[in-house]
Amino acid sequence: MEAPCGGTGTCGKCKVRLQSPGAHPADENLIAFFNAEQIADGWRLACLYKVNTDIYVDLPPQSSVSNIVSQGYMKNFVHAPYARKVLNTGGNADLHLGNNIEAVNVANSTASCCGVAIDLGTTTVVASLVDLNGGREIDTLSCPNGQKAFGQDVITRIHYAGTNSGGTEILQKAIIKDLRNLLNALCRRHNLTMDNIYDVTVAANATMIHLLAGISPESMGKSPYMPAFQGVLSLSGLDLGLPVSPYCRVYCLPAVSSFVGGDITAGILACGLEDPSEKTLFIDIGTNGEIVLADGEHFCSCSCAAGPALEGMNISCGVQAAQGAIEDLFIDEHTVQYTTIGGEPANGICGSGLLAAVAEMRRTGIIDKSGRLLSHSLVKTVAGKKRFIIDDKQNIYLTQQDIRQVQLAKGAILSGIYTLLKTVGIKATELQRVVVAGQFGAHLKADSLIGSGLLPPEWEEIISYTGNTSKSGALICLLSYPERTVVEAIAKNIEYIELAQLEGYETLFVKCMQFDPSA
Amino acid sequence: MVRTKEEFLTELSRCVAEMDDEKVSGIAKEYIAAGYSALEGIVDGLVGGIQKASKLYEEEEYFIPELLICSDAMYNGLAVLRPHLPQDTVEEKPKIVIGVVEGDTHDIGKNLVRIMLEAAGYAIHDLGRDVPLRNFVAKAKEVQADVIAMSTLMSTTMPGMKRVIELLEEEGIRQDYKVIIGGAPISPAFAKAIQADGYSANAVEAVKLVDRLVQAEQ
Repeated sequence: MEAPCGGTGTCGKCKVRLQSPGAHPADENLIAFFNAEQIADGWRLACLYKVNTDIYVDLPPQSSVSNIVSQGYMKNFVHAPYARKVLNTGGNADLHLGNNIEAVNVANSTASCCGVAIDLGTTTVVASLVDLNGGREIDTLSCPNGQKAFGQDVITRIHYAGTNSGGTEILQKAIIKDLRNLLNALCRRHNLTMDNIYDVTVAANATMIHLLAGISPESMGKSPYMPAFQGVLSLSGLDLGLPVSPYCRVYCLPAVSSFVGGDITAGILACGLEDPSEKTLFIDIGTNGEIVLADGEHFCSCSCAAGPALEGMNISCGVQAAQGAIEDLFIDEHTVQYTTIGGEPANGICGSGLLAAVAEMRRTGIIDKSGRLLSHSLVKTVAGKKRFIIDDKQNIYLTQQDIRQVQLAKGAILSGIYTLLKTVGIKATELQRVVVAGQFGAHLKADSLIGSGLLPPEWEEIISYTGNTSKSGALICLLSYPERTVVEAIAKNIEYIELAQLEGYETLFVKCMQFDPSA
Repeated sequence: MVRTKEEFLTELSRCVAEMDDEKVSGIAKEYIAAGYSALEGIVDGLVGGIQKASKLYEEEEYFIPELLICSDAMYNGLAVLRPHLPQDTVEEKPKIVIGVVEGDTHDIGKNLVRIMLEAAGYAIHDLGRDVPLRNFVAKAKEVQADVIAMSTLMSTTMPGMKRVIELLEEEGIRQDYKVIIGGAPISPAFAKAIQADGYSANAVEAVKLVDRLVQAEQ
């Protein structure tokens, strides 16, 4: 069961129905999510309900996560793995790590020299098994991040680590368990043993890396939001308890700041943003939107608190991108046509559907420049509140409040973009390439991104989707030792802008909430 | 154009409620030139307008940008009318100390609450963002505040709110102030758990909450 808010009773995503509700006093938190009838019927938030005796509960229909985007764009690079087996004069294989011979006669051939590239996401972990000598990706597996039980986003995880005794260790154990499972499964599927895994690279945000290493992330949760360490982290695979060779190091890609992590430097590396010939904007849209602008000379980055709306949270009929979620939508005068993930009957709307809906409502004039729902055959008033009806039968709709949530997210991201453009001193029209990375980006259409006003209108022709570049950046570091130097230099050279500290940021943020191309 | 006082007040109110932030100064000047009371112009004109805007926000017609333009319009009008208030007008406004708690620098929500409280006639002492917890208590004592309002966007800094209430208790002055809290990760349950006097989900609701708390006190 999802608990995005970490059990504080604010997200309403852990609804359950008590089979014999009894006389439970309805508190204020419940009223925000249920009407009186539902409360009487036994609906509660699982996170707030204190269990005193054995009870039976009904769970809401199970949602399963859709296919995880595990592949990402990769620039060309030289094949020169950090760990590799090299035949010695005696006909056996030595293990080389970087420029050193780490161990002699480790095997009788150079076969089965493998590494694993990991994208350690806050939501999902992706692990890719790689033949290091051959430079080939063998297999990829993913699983949900086991820390999800402790909150959906990094702030709730940091909060958990800081407020529970042994919190950091508990979260570390959870993620190590996931990594063990993935590594064991990959080995099993390809008849390998743990001794065949000689190298691991990890791309992740700063919080995930802190937790993986067992370092308290607490300082990142409070201004001035400083990480406990900076730069590359190289850990011993065995010390972490991973099923790998005793020689195996775990290389964690360096972060820029607490909120622009190694997953982003990995993306910059994978997309070749260091190439001076192109002015490129890189954006990873999520609860935290990270943006990097490269003009050939400078890198400038920021992180925007977009909130969870684009992940389907805090939206009346919002769901995660899973089977049955409306992912795209089209308004044809007085009817709404939509498609769902997997073609299943609609059970809600996910982030991409939400942006498509807002773009379509704007295009057809159902909402005005301020985001207000106007009179229209698809707009109904229920209990004094206006809503846009998507599917009346399935009872799927967007309320005015839902549209406001999108506007807040849009205000955060667009104001971040304009701030970077201004800082670097280039116009939106001068960009040659806009790269949309990440899990969420992969499900989006350019039409939705532009139409909903999340990205400036000038960019429609230059948007490209690069998929999971966090993983592909980790993969490059696994297969090319020199590229580690490149990513380390990138991390050092990126300027980080703390938006909240900027003079006039508030005015820009508010302006960017409106649907006005000239923002 | 010759207007009656009522027509003027209606027009001032309309300028604020309908975001006519450019026209409002001119109307206010004409109103003063016609010899009408500045105080009435403020109370029945400008403030009446911002109340209409708040209502539109509650009805979901307006959102944050609109509310801010309305408040701009109100301040433009106030800049004209205030100098014409009689010298002896002593405004006894309830006082509010407001700020974003230590550790958090996100203050857009707090600023909006401040603007709406100010518009509703409260005297605001804004401590800004990332405010050391003791400063809330010190400022409240210094200005003899009625209300202490705290906000945060990050769950990591929520415990600071509880700490401020504890500091008040330690000094034996908890009963002297109403403490209210808000921000994205805050819930009514959390407000109750730390024994705050109130919670509000948005700026317009915050005004109602403070009105209620301050009236109960009198």
